[in-house]
Amino acid sequence: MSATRDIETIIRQLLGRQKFAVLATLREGVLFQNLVAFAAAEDLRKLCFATGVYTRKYGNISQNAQVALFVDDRRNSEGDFEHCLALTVRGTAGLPSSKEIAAWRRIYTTKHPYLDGFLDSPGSRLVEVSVQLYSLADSFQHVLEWQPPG
Amino acid sequence: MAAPRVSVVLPLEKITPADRPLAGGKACSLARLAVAGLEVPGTLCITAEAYRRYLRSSGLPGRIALELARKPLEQMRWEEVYDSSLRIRHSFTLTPLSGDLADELSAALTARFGERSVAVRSSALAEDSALHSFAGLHESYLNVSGTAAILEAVKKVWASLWSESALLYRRELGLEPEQSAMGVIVQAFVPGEVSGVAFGRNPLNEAEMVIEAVPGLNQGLVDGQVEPDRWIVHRDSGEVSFSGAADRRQALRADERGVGLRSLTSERRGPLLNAVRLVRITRLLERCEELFTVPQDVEWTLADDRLILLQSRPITARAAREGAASPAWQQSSADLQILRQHVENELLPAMAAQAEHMDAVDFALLDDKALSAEIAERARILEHWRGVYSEELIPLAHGVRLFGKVYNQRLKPADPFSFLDLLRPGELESLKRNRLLEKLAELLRSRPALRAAAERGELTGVSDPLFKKLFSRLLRQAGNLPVTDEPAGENLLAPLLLELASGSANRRKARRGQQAQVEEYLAAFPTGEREAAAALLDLARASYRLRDDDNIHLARIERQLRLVETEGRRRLGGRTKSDSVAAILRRSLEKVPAPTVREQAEMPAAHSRQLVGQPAGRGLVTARARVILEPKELFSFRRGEILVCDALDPNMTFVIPLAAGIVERRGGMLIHGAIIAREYGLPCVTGIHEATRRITSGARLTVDGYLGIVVIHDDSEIHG
Repeated sequence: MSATRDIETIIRQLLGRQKFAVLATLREGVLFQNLVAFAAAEDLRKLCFATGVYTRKYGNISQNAQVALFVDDRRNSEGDFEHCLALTVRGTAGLPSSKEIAAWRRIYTTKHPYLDGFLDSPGSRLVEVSVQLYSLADSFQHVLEWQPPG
Repeated sequence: MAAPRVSVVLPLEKITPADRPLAGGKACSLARLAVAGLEVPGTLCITAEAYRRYLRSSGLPGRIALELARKPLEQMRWEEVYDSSLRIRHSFTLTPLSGDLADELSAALTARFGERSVAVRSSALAEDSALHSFAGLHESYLNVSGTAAILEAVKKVWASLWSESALLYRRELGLEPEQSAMGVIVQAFVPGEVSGVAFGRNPLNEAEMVIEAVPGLNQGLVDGQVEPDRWIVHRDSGEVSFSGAADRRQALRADERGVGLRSLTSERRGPLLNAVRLVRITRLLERCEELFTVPQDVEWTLADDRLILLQSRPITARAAREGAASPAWQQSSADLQILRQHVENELLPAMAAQAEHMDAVDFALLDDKALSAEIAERARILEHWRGVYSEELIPLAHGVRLFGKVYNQRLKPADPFSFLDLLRPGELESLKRNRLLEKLAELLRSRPALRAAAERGELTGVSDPLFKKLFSRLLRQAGNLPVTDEPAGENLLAPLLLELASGSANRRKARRGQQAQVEEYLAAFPTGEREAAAALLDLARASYRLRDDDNIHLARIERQLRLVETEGRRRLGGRTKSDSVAAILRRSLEKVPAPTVREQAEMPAAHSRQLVGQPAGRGLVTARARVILEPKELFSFRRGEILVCDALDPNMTFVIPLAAGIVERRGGMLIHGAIIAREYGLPCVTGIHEATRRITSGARLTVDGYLGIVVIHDDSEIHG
């Protein structure tokens, strides 16, 4: 139980601290990766990011909703073997319902206030990722997995 | 135990040299001068910590970083740097101070100044060091009273850390969003009777000092609005030479709005400084140089015969360069009004008359020698007007920028370029031409014989009187439709007219709501200032219109050169080299400046997928690209294509009724491509580096005119 609380806390702190994640999408067997500015819901069951509708990642998600996000806090030094956290988030991407958009917008612009203009653009969409599994690696090879409750 | 909180204010009396990273160069210099017993105004320094706290709480570093990420500064034209700076500075205008910071600053300002007037000046951290002067990079605000107004002025000074001039020197300044910081000094305002600047060493002659003086406030001198009197003082002998009084017509004075230029009734003649005062200023320069060990550039003012030092900084090469030439954009509204009258009442009518005069010449009446002389004369005329265009017509665009600055400061709109909606004109020469083209297309639609002639590419032989009349008017008025450099080149217009006739063309956007916007703008001024506000709007509208029309007028003149050139080449055909008249003609033709033709597109090695420029016309569209390298290619433009070009000028915008969007290499919000895109409501992105090299005709593009993004799609992509 306490291990669960610990991993939840570590994940919450990492997601709160880091502004960017690597998003992986897949289309017709070809992987594609991007850096995206993300935010997480309070219960950690969902994350969101913003993108243009004309981008490759948005097109890929339209075809295949399975995505992964990668968040880490490496400093690009040898000390990372000991201290770096590396989190993989597996989930399903989709557009939030009209009821959820306002709440997501609040969460997202609280973390990234400078992206409000990007969000306001008619060519932009907030995409939410429903998390299936968190996989957290630390101390080089130590890996824990956690499913948010619900 | 928590670390003591870094102070957001420091009184001048408590500032020591060690405070430089917190207070900035100007504040430290003033503190040192005060300690040395020189008279300086009472000063409170708002430290760099206040700026940092403001930025930390506001998300501004992210906004600035996003703006700077659009394009490397070295790839930007001056206009693009201006636009970027405007967006950044406007973010400061829209971002309030956090409550606790505002409370701390308000308490300190009220305690120190109460309701007394102050001057608010920058004290950037690298400013006024021995290496960098950065004189004039940042803004100052004079005669500000009331804590709320002072805090607004402080924000404007902070924002000027990101002025277009500062961005141009970004590397030298080490200007990074996360690390940027600035101190600000708030000084008791001194309404001096005579003020000026003085250089402890003449940048042009090390043996001399220079003293300059203007009536009223020295901001008039620093901004280049008031011409100074100037004295040269020999550093060793103290010998003074007076290099003449300026023709003084106005002075910058304090008024109810802060400061303003006032006409002079007295003080128009005779030197502003007598020998005693010159000696006092010379002693002041010497004292400052002793203190700082290097020659100084000081600003001073005389009030009730007290010589008050406003600031002192080392002379640098930068300061000398800046003194040499004030940027033309700093022209005041009054100067721009004079320029506008000159352009509207003299230059453009003269250009029109010149084009008409040349149009009346019948080549059949000129023998080869006379034709040769005509070619040379028209080439000379074109060169002359091109010079006028650069020197006198382009600067008129500053009328629009000046209005934008005033509008944004008064109304604080969310979009810093929304002021452009007030400027959309009733008519432009290029739009008149487009309407004429639309009428011709309508004739093709309704008259099958005309349509058949156009399909055969034989417009020149058409006998329909109405078509002939309108077509002839089009060629005469439309500027330089690029069809005159080959026999019967007018027929090249046939595909364009057919395309226009084949369906409905883009229509100009209605100007609904413009009147309400004008009323809102005027209502933002006190009653006594509305007349001046309306005059500024009128100036900006004229600048906006005339800056588009002048291109058409210039092109009409160029067309007359191309016509005589075509006639010359026609006559040369079949002539031998031994023919002496032909040799004269050939020599004349060789001297004719060639029309601009872009280099053939060569794709860079790396394929571009997504390009970022400036969002210059709102809208989102996905369509095929048509890359235009030379004007003639415009005639094969097809409905629904996205126009991609290097630099769109009003002589090319006749295809805009057919276009789905515009992408341009040249960047800016006030360029012709952006103006025409707003007129027709088309998505437009400008400032795409190497646009015509990175995009090929036929490529499928998405133009996001909201964000300034162009995406080049793979044809295999389904979405879009």
